[in-house]
Amino acid sequence: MTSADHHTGHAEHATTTGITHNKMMMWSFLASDCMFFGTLIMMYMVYRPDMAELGGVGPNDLLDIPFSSLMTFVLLMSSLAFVLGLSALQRGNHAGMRVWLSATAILGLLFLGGEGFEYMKFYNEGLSLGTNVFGTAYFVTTGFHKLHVLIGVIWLLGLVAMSYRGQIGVHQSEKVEIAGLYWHFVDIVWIVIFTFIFLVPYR
Amino acid sequence: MSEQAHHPSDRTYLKVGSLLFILTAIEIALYFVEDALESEWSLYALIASLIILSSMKFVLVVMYYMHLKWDDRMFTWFFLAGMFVAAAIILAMMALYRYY
Amino acid sequence: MAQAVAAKDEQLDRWAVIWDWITTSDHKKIGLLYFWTSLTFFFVGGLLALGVRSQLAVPNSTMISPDVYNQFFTMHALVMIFLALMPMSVAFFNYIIPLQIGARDVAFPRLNSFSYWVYLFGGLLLCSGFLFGEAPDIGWTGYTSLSSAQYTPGMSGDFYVMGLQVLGISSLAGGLNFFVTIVNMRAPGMSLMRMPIFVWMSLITFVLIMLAFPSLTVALFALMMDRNFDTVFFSASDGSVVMWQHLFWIFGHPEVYILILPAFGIISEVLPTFSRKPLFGYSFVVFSGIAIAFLGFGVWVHHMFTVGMGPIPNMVFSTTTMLIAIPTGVKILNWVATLWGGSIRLTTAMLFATAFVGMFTIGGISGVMHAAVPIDYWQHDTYFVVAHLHYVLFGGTMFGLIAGTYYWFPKMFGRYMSESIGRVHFWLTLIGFNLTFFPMHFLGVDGMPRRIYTYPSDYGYELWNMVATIGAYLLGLGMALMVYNLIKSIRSGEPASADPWDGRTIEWTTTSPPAKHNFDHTPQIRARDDFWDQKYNRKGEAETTPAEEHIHLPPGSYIPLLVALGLMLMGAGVIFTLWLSVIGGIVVTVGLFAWAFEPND
Repeated sequence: MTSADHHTGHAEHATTTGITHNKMMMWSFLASDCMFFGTLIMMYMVYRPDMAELGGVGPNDLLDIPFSSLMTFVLLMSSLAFVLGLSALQRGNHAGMRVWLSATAILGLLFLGGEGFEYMKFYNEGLSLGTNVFGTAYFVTTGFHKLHVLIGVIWLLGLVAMSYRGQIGVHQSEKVEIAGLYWHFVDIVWIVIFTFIFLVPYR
Repeated sequence: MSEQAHHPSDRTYLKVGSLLFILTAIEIALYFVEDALESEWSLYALIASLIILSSMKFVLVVMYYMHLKWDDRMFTWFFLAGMFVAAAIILAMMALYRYY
Repeated sequence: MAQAVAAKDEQLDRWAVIWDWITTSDHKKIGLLYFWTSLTFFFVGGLLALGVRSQLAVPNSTMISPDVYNQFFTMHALVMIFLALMPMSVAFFNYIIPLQIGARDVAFPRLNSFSYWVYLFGGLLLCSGFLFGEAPDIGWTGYTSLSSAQYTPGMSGDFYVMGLQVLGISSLAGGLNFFVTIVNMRAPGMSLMRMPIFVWMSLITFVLIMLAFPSLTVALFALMMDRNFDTVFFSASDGSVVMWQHLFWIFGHPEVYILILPAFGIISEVLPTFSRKPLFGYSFVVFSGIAIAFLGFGVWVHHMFTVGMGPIPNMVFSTTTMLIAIPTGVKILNWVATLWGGSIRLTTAMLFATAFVGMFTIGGISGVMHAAVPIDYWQHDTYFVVAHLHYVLFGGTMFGLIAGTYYWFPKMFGRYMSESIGRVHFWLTLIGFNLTFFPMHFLGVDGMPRRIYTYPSDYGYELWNMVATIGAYLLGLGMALMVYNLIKSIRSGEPASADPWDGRTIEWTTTSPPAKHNFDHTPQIRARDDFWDQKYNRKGEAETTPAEEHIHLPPGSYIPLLVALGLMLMGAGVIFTLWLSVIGGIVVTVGLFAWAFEPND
């Protein structure tokens, strides 16, 4: 569905609200995506009380708070890098925008790599999709988040490439802004996941 | 409808970024403090403070990085609608499974 | 020689026409594609229903085997809900909404064509189970653990999961697209409270689609993982079997309103037009629609009263369910009050609209009966429920959609539908419908379970089952007559003017059928029911912008079709072999890049 947001729009027609179709679409999509992640997190929270007693490969044995904290910082900083990139573009600093957006993408990749590493670690310690309800809910919920991050990284790299080809002018900063809405949304989903999947103790 | 009128400065972005950093650090610190105490009241205190802290982070990102503070009010309503329905269903389901 | 060249030209022409339909991004053409496709699926679903009814006509019948019977009733529900009723509403969204809000197209024309192709391919994927003799046979609700790999091994469950998943993408894309269209593309002067009521009800439908479908997506994804990748979401020992029911009904109850609200909108256009009166209590209709949508998210447990969650949850959800009766009752009163004192013209559209009010009220009242927990315990999973849901979905949604067809047909094809055939169609349908479904109330109260393959001869079910089967054939005859009427009227119907019904809203200001760009001038809206106001209150004042020299329309594109095909392959891969999913994934990715970089302005 993100493809819709690449749509170049109808700049020449004024819209009823004065907001472009693309931006309106992004926010509508995010409202819908709230429900998507909401449902996933809901399942996790419902299964959560059963997870405390899972011996051997439960969350208490596997979750690595220091490592996940590091990943959280990486993702938070990627959001900061993104807004600095947007701000650079709005001031006409194209090179700055490309640097910051690339930094965002690299931080995103770092996050994906770290989480992938953690997946491998869990798997080696005996947790797979079907081991228990923790494996199921953890891998699927965070997996969907990672899928969103991956799409975001591809989108960001596309924007950097377009900027190199001179296709993102200062007055087209909205193209970047819309990608940013998506990226920050992925960030706030992680804020929720980090708190409720990682930090709240399993007892 | 002056959504393009106000661009927050890099300073603001950096300030918000540092706040996010600090709030997350506090969350993690609290987690380890509670881990050492491990009592019933400390668990509830931790959960309460985590909810408050992460909501603050949530609101900061949405208001400043996603520009809802300056953008059209309509987007706030869209987002709130999605959030509200999702949150209500999460809470209702947790209650249903916890107590019934 | 010349003849051969001419024949070749004609052939080329034919291909050009087909290519034009395949690549079109014109909302009117997509609307017609939706209309004919959904009508075809409606008859597929209808034939399945006749199969079910024939099997049940006499006790101890073995006309079709139990396996086939299970496939028939499951596919009847899935086809009717996801492939016939919803898409037929979408046909009207496509054709009518841009015309009613004075726009030239939707906000994202290529996304719109994408929605159609995903719908078509998803529908074919869902139905293709019949080719393998393994169509879904687990009921349209697909309850776990019946639908889990242990109890439904083989492909039928996967056809269910992947077919619905692909169709969900189509609905979400369409919902988002039309939501943006209505919010952002209204003609100058059309404030929210001046929008035609059909547009209002559709807008609420899109919000419901946006917020309800993600739950189905997650549920289907989890079931797919459970069936194919060993997860334990719905396993009885680790996860929660009932979780599926929750997820399904968190989606499923708003889905009921997704099905009925467009019909509410159509009725609220037809009744005022043929009563020559404005809709009684416009703002009440609007706000009761919003209230229905809002409450619709808080009632899902009423499908699960017998799960055994105890008196408190049942009481809470029983209360919220009964609350919905209030805004619905408000609407019914508004429709009746619209008729009151109007100068009524009983056209076929009007007949169906008034029948809608009556039939829907019966269905609504039996719905409130289920809301009371003790009564629900008695009626749960009996034919009473079948009667109820057919009164709201056929007597409600389908009657509304038929009314809409008769009402907007002149706009879509420039000709009237035959009123004389229409009348026969109406009476056959009304009588057939009530003969089929009213006896089911009695059967349900007598305890006949729904979805049952056959019944013994001494339970007292014979009479009403036979009546219902006779009614079903009458109903089928009535609907066949409608198709005859459609085809005959397209060929030789009486030509219709731009404003054949003395209409109220601005889709009647443009020609019938509308030009490709819809309006020569961007309409300026001064009032609710603007066209009526223009005709009778501010007579003849020309209030349009100067003619627009250059009207820009987006070009067509084949890429949406490609991406939709890729999505279907991805879905099919889970059913057959994952390599297909990989190929589908590549097609989708390449397609999306091509989509993003395709010049289209």
